[in-house]
Amino acid sequence: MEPRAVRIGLRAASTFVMLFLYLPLLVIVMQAFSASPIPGWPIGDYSTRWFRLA
Amino acid sequence: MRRRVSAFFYRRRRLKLGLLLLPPMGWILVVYLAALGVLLLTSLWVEDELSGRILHTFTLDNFRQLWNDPTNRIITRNTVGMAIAVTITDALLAFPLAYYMVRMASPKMRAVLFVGVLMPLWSSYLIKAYTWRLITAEDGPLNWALGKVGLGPYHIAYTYTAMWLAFSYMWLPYMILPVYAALERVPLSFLEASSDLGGRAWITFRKVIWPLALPGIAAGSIFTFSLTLGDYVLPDLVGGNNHDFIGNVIFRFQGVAQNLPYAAAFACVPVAIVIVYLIVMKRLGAFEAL
Repeated sequence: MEPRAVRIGLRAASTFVMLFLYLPLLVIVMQAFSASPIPGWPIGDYSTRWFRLA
Repeated sequence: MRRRVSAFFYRRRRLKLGLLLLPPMGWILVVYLAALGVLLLTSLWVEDELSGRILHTFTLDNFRQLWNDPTNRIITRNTVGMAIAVTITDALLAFPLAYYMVRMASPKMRAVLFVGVLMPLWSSYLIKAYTWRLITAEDGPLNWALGKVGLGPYHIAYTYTAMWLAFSYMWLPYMILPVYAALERVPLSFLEASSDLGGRAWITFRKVIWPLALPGIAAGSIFTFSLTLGDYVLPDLVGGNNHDFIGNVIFRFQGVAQNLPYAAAFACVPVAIVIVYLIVMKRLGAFEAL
């Protein structure tokens, strides 16, 4: 059994790694709903126009 | 008829084995080794400077030219440096998650994390590369987030930092899975024995877990190292025009300059590096952890 500090550290590191894996995917999903044709952050207006075009 | 065929192969086991291995071995020979042979052969030809025609005469001129141009040495050094940096980063990121999955997560959580690690591989490589171009842009989410906590903005777009982040992201699942497999094979009794003998967490990690996990890290590093070494899309998309890697230069020589022999000679460089790397990794027991 690992000490408490190690367990907390491992949980925090695992959360960080999963965020690192998924935040970029979240960014691209959000970008798909951006109304602007020019990519930028933060997204001003949201729209489904790109899905209609696709 | 079926019985006779079965009896025929039962008596001739070597023939059965040979026939079974023929398709995969033939595939490896034709697709991989023959392609490498053609690459090596092409690297020994030269392009006629005036007509642009490939002269089928064997010479080491391309390799001599490669060696004498200091730019190529810088490009090779930068590419290998990036491959090493990405491999170390991925090992540092993969280890805690793999350890958590093996030792701490419940079976249900383990399954969720396992699928969670694999899912980013289902999305398109190009989309992920473009995402990192967007994330590291001057007005991208990374600079926006850094600005919010008073740490930015930084000039990350089209830098080695941007490429390092993107490469580390791209190949991370390929490191997590072998490390997970290696850690899963560490018997719990070893950790208990270490603890019973008075070994603290750090000592147990250093003397028991690390040596047994090393083949897994070495196996994962084969993927992260070789994939970074050969990539040419990501340096173009995320690194911009100012950061040449071996892959870009090869692409430019065969696509734009149409100098296939020179491109083939340069392509032999990562092949040689990967062969040396594989020999070192084999000594570390990486192939047993694959």
